[in-house]
Amino acid sequence: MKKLVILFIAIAGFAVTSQAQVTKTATASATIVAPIGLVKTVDLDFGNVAVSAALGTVAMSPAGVRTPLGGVTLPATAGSPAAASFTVTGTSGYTYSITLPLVATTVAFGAFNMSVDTWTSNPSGTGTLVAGTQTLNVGATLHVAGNQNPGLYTSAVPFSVTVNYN
Amino acid sequence: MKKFALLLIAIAGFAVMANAQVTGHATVTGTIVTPIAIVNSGDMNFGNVAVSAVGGTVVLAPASTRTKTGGVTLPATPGTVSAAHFNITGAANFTYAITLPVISTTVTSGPNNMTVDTFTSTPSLTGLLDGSGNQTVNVGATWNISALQPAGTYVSATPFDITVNYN
Repeated sequence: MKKLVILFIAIAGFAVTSQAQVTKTATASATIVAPIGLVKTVDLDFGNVAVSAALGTVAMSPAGVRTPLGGVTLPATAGSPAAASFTVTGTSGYTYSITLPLVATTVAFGAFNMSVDTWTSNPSGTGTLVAGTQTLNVGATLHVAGNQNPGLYTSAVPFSVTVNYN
Repeated sequence: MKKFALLLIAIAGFAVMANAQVTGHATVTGTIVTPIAIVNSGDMNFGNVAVSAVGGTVVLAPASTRTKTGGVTLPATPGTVSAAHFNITGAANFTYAITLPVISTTVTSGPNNMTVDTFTSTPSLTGLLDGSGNQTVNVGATWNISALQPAGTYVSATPFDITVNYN
């Protein structure tokens, strides 16, 4: 009889506990249905770049503005320069962290290469999903050698941007 | 028991959220355009000019036609008359800036000098490379001739320069 009572208490205790947990976590699970999502909408394009004997760089800002430095110039025929753009979706009002590439990406034209690094983004570091979405723009810096061979250079491997709820 | 199962699902769901992260990918492209180049394909030649006691000028147009002012005349035997020609090559359909000399060039024949200035070109200031990345720039100028300028073949000791660059 004594054992029965103890057993009953144990079961009852568990039942109470589990019921409380269910109620609590059911509320939490409502926020789970909006996982963070990231979709690329625009690729990064440095457009047309003219070279000279001197090396140089082209910095693409997240706003899509190019800045030449050193021996490179930007012809009036610009091509279609654009910063990369991603659409981040998720739970409204949540903030998220943005992780940009830490290493350079190589762009190649046949046997010729250039490197792209110094990734920047807007928003930077942390974004906020106002109304459950935000546009994340990413720029970088293209390194051009002196007398870089003419051609259309493309990354064989795309670069990656990771977002995560804070 | 049913409630217990719900609890497990809820915990599993929470665990997914804690690890929620996604990675997007984008490609990178950039175009290095064919460098612009310029090659002289014909020198400037004002042809034969006759002088008098009054100075004058010969204006050589980019189209290689001559006009005169002042006391000089253009004989029926014109000699070789030609504007300077430059072949420009580069990226197809790109525009470029043309910079002509802003100072005069001296032409000499022995101890005698004259100056050539007021350079003009066709196209002027801005050129446009065709679908094959080519264009010809023709350059004319004005030859300033003094009264009773001594006869001779006058040649520039130093060639004049024109510069082209992508806009």
